[in-house]
Amino acid sequence: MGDAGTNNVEYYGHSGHDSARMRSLESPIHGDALRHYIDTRVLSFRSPEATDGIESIEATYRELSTREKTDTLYGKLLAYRSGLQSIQQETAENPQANPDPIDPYLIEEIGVLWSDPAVQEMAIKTYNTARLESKAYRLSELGKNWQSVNANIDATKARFEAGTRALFLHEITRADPLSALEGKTAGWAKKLIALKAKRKAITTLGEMPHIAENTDIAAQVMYEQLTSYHAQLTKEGFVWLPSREGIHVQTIEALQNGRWPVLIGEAGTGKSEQADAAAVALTGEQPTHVICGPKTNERHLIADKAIDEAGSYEEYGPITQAATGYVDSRNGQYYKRGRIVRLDELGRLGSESYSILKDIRQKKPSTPDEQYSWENGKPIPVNKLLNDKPVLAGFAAIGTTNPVGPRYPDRTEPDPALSRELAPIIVDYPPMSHNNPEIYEFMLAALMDRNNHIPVSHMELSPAYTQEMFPEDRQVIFPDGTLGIGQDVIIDDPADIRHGTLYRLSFAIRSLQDAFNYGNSQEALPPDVLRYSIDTDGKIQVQNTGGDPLTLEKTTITLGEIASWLRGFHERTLKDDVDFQTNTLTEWIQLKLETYVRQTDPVDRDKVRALFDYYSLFSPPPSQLEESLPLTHKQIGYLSPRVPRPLYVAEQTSPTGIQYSEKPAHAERVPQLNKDVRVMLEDGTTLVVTPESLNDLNLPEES
Amino acid sequence: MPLETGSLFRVGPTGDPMEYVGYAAGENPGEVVVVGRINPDQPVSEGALHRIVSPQILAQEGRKIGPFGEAFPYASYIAHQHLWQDQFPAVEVPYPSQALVDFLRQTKEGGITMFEPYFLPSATFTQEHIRMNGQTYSYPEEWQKPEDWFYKQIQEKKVDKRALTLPGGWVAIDTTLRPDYDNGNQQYPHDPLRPLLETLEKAGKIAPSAPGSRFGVSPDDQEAEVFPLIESTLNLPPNTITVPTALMFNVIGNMSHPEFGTASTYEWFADAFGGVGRLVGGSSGYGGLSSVYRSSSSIRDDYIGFRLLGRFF
Repeated sequence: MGDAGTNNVEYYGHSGHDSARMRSLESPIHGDALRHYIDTRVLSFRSPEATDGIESIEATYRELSTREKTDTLYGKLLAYRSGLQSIQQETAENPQANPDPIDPYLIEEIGVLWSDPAVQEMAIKTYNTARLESKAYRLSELGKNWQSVNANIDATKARFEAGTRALFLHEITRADPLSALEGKTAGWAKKLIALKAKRKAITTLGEMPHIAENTDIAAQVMYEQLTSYHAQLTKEGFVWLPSREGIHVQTIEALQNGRWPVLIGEAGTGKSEQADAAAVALTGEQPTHVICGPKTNERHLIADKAIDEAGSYEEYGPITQAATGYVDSRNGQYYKRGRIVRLDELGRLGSESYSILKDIRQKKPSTPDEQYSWENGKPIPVNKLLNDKPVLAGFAAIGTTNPVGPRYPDRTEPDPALSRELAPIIVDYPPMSHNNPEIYEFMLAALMDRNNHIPVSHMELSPAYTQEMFPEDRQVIFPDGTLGIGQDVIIDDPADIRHGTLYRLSFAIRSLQDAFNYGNSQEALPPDVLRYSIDTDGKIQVQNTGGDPLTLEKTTITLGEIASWLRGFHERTLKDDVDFQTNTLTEWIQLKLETYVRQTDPVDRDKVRALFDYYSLFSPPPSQLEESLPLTHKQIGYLSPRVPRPLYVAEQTSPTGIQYSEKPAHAERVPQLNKDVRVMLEDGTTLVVTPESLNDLNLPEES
Repeated sequence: MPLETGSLFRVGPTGDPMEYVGYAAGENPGEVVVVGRINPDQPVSEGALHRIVSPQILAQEGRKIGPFGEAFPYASYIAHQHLWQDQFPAVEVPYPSQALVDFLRQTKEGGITMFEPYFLPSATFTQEHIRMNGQTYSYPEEWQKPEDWFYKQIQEKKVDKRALTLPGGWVAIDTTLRPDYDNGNQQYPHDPLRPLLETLEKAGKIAPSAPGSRFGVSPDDQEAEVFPLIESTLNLPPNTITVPTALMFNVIGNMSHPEFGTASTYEWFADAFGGVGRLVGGSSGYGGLSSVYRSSSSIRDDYIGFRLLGRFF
């Protein structure tokens, strides 16, 4: 039976800490540990005089729910610990140092938050839950597999990319090592594909049974994936979602096949980031860069005359710089290997520039011997020279452009001769569906605070599920005899108000991007496109059927914009604008949506508002937010519908029929050093073992 | 000593050594039995046999063997024994020191998981063959030896000939993946050293090529500032932390970590070159695991990073 007191996850139908054995570990000592830490390691440093600010601290937090106060306490405790570590480091480095103590205001804040008995109870309960989940994850084979597969992917990817780069840059010319490197690189590619498939299988559990033990680990794995996204977003401002990795592979493959990729996509799809990443992967260097326009000509692309006090000389354009490694006609070669030139808005080039590109496409890379000959004044084939300098291996171009269509009348397709040399690659916005919720996962990562925590109620975040019990012929029997009798099934309609605000928002964003795409489409629209109609009062309504397809002329939204909204949620209370002081994420999103709609071009404004209404994004927040508990890592991982839900199981049968467990069953944990907890004894019998240390059993050491 | 998972113990003076696996419910309600694996000298595999022991008898007659525990399970020691003896049967792998196990426990508890215990046998690796414990072995087929330049410098006495020998003992090797060059902005991924390096950087004691980076930190900086700070932070004796020699790097890379040679950047080695020089290597563009070259110990080069090595012998 589950512990109703710790049941905070019923909303999305799973549990992970309610097996009898794990419950038995929740002894008071663990709760006491947190209490002991706060009482003796934090509040004992409280200054007896420092009571001046208490009233203002109490006023700051008075309006918060218990969950919000507990989340705030968690953030404050982490800040306290981090500060303590900095002080210890400074003292260790210089024993004479006298660093400032922990800010007394922070200690007072912790004291005020901790003084609330309801916060104490919730904090201890959450701490215990998180601690047990984390331990189960560390000890699980699946968790270790995940870490080992990731390490293996990193290592293989590094070898594969180094091999690919060496081949692309023609770094090896002798036949035998060249052939060997080609063989090795092909092997690494295969290994990488297999490892990525294995990683995906861990996330989705592949063929493994969807018992809670496994799905709990898949949820922890998803949490790690989200923290990795969060780190990428913080560091690079870009997240390598699976769809972006797919585009990266296509771009690299086009270049390896000797064609110039052209990334075609709408504003904010990440074309430039993709082009730069492919250039760095293949050449180890950032690309040079041209912003194309109808008046772009040879002077912008190849070389331009310049003059200064020392006389006249040529400044080389981005194409010559990338192809030859020379920056101008005065200085020596700056780069020894070819680079890639990024041609932004390629579709805006005029016919003269397209002719230049066609000419450059005919150039071949010179060999090291030819470069040596050229340096010593000997001639080399003219198709290996650009602006009288040898063309280097590794030179190529990547174009980016908006799609040709009514929205961009100045974009033109290159002529057929050049088109044959190019590889068009469509860069759409990331997908959003129940099975592939990239935008939602991006938003979760963007919503994480600096502690990789999401201090928001799961009710505002999570997709919603309904319980489905299997007919007898679909029930699953596990090896230990338990019976899988049902599962949680996601509510199919993404606009259903039972889904959390953030989940509905992620679908709304993708619908808006779709409508923007369709606004420039020259092809027939798909049959399931959202539609709209105008009622007798002139009000627009978005709907699934009837009316006209929903298209937008000028309005889209990028993930970068969404990320800034979500990051702003953590800083809202620091703003002195009363509108920013929202209590819930839902209200914050509504504030941002209102601003966004207000700033939308009038031609699209009513449609955009109707679209957000269709997803009920202006509806009030859920009413039971007060009852939420803070999210643990596992629960954050379970937010993604990509993580399988645990099956409901029948624990035993009785003469009166099946008895259902209140929660999906949690199998025994896997020990660290054995394949299974069920171990075999010398006499052939088996035994279930709890793989934990016995710290109370002190043995003398054998001399 | 507490009985941790992975500990090795014996009941009575002549009992079989067992690796502690966990505890289980006994026959009577509330009773618990201790479970040990009785063939701990075998690699971890399905079908290993176990034995149960009552906690009372264990408390009276049990003896813990060696320093093994959660931080360094006995099974890991066995894995190391197999790693070496499968290729070089003459190698004998001793138990690790308590200091190494304590170090691993302490770093893991502090969230630092980059250190891996590694046994390096007493051996000489010449250009032609490997000598270990009186036996001579040919290099395994896929072994990437240091490039010829390395052996030539030893012949010319620019590098001490001890560069060809391993000392014999356990080390803790930092397995963090070295990144590719990115104009000096590259960082070791998830680097736990970063806060320490930033502290030194803020104090003006080092000048890495990017904030908190391991690149642009010269060997002189490492020895004067970085290693002592790590040692004092982790309560280690002086001179415990260093970087691997070129040979250690090459051997560990060939035996277990081919990814050491996959980045375009270099890393510093402990071997001296000439008067003020140091060996560097590992660059994928110049042979990967074979790559060895030289630089000056005072150079803060944004192309060269460093990998830690804890000496516990």
